[in-house]
Amino acid sequence: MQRQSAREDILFQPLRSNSIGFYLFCAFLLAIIGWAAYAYYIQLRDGLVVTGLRNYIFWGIYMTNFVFFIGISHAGTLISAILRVTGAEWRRPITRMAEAITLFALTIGAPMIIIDMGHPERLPNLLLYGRLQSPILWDLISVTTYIVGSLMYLYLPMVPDLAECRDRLTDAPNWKRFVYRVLSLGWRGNEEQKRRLERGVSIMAITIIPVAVSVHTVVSWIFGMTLRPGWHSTIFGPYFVVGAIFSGIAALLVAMAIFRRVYHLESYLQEKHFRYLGLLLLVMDVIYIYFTLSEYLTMAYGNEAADQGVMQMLFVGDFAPIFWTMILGGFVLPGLMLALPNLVKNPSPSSAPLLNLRPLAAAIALVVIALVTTAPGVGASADIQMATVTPVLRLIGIIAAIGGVFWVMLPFMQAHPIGTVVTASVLVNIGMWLKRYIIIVPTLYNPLIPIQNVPTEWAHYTPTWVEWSITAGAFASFILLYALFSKMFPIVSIWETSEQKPELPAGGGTRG
Amino acid sequence: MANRIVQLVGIAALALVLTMFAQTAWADDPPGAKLFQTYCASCHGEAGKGGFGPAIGTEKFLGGHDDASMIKTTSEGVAAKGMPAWSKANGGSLSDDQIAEIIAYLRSLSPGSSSTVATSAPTAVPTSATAPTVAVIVQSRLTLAQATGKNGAVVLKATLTGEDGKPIEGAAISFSRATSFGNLDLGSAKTDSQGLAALTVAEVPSAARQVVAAFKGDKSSAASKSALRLEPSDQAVAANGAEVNNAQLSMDEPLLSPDGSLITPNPPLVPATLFVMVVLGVWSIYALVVYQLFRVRKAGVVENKVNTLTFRQ
Ligand code: HEC
Repeated sequence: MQRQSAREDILFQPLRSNSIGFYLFCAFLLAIIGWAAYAYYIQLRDGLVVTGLRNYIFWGIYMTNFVFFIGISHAGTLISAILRVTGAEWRRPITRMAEAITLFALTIGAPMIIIDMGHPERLPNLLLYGRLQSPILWDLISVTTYIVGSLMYLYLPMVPDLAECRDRLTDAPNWKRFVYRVLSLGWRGNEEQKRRLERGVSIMAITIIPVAVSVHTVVSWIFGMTLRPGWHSTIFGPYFVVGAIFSGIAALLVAMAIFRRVYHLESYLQEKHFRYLGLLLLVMDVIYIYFTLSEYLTMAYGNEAADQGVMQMLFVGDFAPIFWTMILGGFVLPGLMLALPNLVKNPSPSSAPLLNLRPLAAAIALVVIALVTTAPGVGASADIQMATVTPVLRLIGIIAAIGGVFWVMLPFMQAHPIGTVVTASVLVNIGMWLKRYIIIVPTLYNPLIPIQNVPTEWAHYTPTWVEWSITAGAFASFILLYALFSKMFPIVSIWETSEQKPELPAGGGTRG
Repeated sequence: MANRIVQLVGIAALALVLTMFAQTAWADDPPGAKLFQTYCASCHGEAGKGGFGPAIGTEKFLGGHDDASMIKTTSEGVAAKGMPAWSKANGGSLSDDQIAEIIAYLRSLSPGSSSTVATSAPTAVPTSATAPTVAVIVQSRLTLAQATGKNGAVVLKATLTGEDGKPIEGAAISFSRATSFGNLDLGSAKTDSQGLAALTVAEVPSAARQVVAAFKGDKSSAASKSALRLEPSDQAVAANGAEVNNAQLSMDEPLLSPDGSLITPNPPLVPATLFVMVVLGVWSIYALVVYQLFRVRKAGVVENKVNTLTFRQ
């Protein structure tokens, strides 16, 4: 019992005291948020002209953020609900973190829609004149349902821990104790309470899964139900859901790594947690690559006039750099990072002479990368049929270079499994953000009605400082909310991790 | 406290969904308004404010036209100018009663106007509201014809004349292609001393296209408009390498089904009911969970009381 408490003390530590570093960190985030608020004030004052959005390209990085945040909100549901329903024991220390990501990603993501509006005061019109046959209204309804559901799903399993806080943190400031007292619902851990709470948790765990799936499906339908090239696709629902789970796991892994380091949670978040989640991430990565291939191959093969414009822009045109960065850097590279260290055995001593060639291989790889990426001859004019061999050479060059880099990095990655998984997760998150951008913007470059009677620059979209500032503000707010949450409530579920026993604890009075 | 709030939020959201549903599905508009919205608004604009077709819901128009003439135009159409015939007798989809309802609705938009105007003279009929400010505005007349230019390009020729048949010079005529999703601008030209404005369109359509010339009107002449069906040509498409991006005549109409599954004024009842039922179902489950929380709290309170009692003894 005593030993157990010592371990749990680690979890209470962040709740007890705030370091100066924490205040500095908050101040830094608040500065970013303040700057974003100023940018938003400018946007409200002058209208959407201060952004890069215009009549034709009316969705930009605001919408990208919206889809991105809704995406990572799937961390909570999937990891927590599915693992809970299937009874995976190792989920215990990470469910709370995942559920909190869900809630905060939604609180930040959903308002991005309002920020995207030139006249936010007209938002009530969506309700007053809403058309039930419009996916926009479906989205509103399902996101609202999801926010409420995930709040409840975060709260329910927290009740016993709140009682623990109420009983243990007696020296906390009054307002904090008040919060704990109210939220812990007079939890004493008696049989009746355990039964009720357990029922509530299992109902929510099951309910929240279809709700979460529906949310991202509906988000995809906002695009899919239009007849526009690049959006009008039947696989968009599952494609978005898989993408959401994919980026959700990646976001969770990053959060886990940070909390582990900052709050010293090494005894809770062990290497195996990163390894398991890393494998889950790898599976989602492969499925996502498969979906991506299926989507673009179908489009490119059919090569309909309307699709052509979008394909061209993605593969070789304006968006090619982003597209290929996303494919190679966001999907393929992380996939290799997650898979290879598990597949390749540690090199045997007999191959030592070969190993000495590593620096040389690294140098060659870098040279090849430099050569292929600067090679001339591929521009917006090249066509999809890859009439020249340059792209092929380029592709081979890049693959060879990546192979070389991996050969060099492998021992290092094997020595640092957590670092590797987390780095891959960061790459995945960047890739998925780019992916959302790539889904939204190129289609708007190719409207059904030709772009006409507008200044030529309206046919292009470049985000302005206002948009970037607000985006930075959104991310800062997300991190701030998450950090404050972790200062207020135990970030790892205490009763669920105590001796890995699935039983709900008897509360306060009986302990000690 | 917390569960009370969650409950309230839940109830509010449910109520919202329900009212929205009620509003959209069973809105209480006059029958003519719905019919107008469904059949006419796409051309004549919301509440007949004008669009591809003339503004027929305005005081100005209604003041100058009696019900009989409007019913006649609606029933028989003006085929040459793109106004379909609507009555069943003429192959349309509306019964005579429905047409009468639509006209009654239009009339209700301008209660002051009389429903029997003796003359539908082309000059603006002064109505009580506009009389003092209206200067003498002469009705204008626009005709549109097609000619063939160099390389087989299409030349659109619009002639603008006044009431007396005299050409009007220096007026800006804008040309556009009318499509089911709006007007695509083709360009504009000024009338010369003959009242003629010509616009060369570099490309030739591969199928018949509806083209419209419009004169906005100015201080002395009223607005006018004229439509023309451009017949397809053998040497179809982009005559002298016109940019594909700007190909507005050769671009095909999108293939929407005519009664438009995308253009539904009200949600289809069965799917909408299913949808609402699913949403309500999820929220009822939430309510059930909140109830569990309520019971958790109650159980805690009871135990506290029991504890206090034992302590006293
Ligand atoms: C496809 C587009 C279209 C639709 C749909 C349409 N109209 Fe028209 N309508 C026109 C055009 C174009 C004219 C102008 C004809 C002309 O210049 O003589 C017109 C003219 C009229 C006029 C005569 C206006 C005048 O200047 O005398 C009336 C009345 C009218 N429409 C009623 C209706 C009603 C009622 C409906 C719905 C049942 C309807 N229209 C639907 C295109 C349309």
